[in-house]
Amino acid sequence: MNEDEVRSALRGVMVASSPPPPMDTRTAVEAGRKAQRRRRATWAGAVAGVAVVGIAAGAALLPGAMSGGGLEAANGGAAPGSASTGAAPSTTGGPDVEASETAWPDGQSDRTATSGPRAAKSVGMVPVLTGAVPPGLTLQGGAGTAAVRTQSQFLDYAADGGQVWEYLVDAPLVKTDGSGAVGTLHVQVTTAGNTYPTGPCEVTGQSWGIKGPCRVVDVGGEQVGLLTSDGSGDQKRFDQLAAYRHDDGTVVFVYQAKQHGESVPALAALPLTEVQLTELATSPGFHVD
Amino acid sequence: MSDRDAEFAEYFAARSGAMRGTAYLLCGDWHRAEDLVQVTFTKLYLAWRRIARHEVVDAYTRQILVRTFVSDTRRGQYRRERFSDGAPEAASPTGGSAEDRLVVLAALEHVPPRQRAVLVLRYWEDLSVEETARALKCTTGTVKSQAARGLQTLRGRLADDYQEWVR
Repeated sequence: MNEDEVRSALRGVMVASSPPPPMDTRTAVEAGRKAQRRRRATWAGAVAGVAVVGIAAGAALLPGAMSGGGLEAANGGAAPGSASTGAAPSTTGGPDVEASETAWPDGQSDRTATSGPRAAKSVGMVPVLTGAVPPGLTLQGGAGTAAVRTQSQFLDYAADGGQVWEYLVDAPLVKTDGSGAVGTLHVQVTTAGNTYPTGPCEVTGQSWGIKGPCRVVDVGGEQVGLLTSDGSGDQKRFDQLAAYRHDDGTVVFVYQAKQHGESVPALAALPLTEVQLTELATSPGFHVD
Repeated sequence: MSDRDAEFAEYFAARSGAMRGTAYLLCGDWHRAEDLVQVTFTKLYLAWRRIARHEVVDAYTRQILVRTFVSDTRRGQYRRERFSDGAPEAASPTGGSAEDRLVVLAALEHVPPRQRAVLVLRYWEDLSVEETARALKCTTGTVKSQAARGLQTLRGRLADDYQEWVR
């Protein structure tokens, strides 16, 4: 058997066999996407691990630097200790995940947009939150209290090829009576194109692990899901969540909590009433793309 | 669908059939061939952005395919459903029938995976010795020796019958 005969034999094999129908392209693309998501999650875990080790090492090596324990206040500004400006804030503290060689949109090196129009959108939500702060509380606590944090991060590609983004604002609400008590308002907007459920309460399943009884509240003819934590979810940080879905699919989660970390005293009551919380969730200022 | 996904989908639609044929010759079963191609294209998707020049995509994809096959076979993934030892000898080729051709496939199953990969790349994909060496990450000398041994194994399995079906 020479080489030509082998070629002929292999061709014969292919002719004699009956290949199944062509493989499904959509299945292949989806498998690729899933693999990419797994890879991103792996890297995110690795980055988080590095960050934890870094923090632990920092705490061990620089006890003086950590002993202050206070949070720095900034109205619509940068993260504490961050070198970023008000126009380009980010809450990410870990190294970039460039090594993953994952292709992020618009030339980004990781999920988070730290500058440019995407980054500006989460910053732009801060005044909306500021406007909803009730009397007796403020986002401005001065040095040594707390800081507003913002983040803009790419979530996924939509079915139509567009981009789905998440915009976050985490705001400590400081009591103005000098007690030092601090609560939390936290907003998460997921832009249109997401695949979240449409029901006001069903969509709360996409929140950050807060669980409990949910009821639908009417806010000027709009349906808002109002969930009160029963402590069974993974996320113990928040006490209440209002969820609202705009007609175009944009989903707004507004969380509130009496606490803002364990190192500062908590508020005696939730920062907002249920009416204020649900109205805030429907605010046009959080309808961003 | 993003531009990246659209490009990838277009490439998959154009080339998955050919890659599946190669995979079939490597593993001898269409279902496993499809699994192999799916794994190959998933790996390709992850690297899609890095492959700027599309003329090298075929070579890269083929490389993933054969290395995945060899690697999986080494781990025993494809051993479970080998053809029975008696099949080649039991067949009675009469020149050109489908059954006769499949005797070759059965004989290929008895060629060690790496030698089989060399035979398929050299005589089905028509790659040069150098290209085959790059795909399998080995030297050209290894390709030549593996090809010679693979052919010898095929000859041994098919004995005199091959004269019938190669005509």
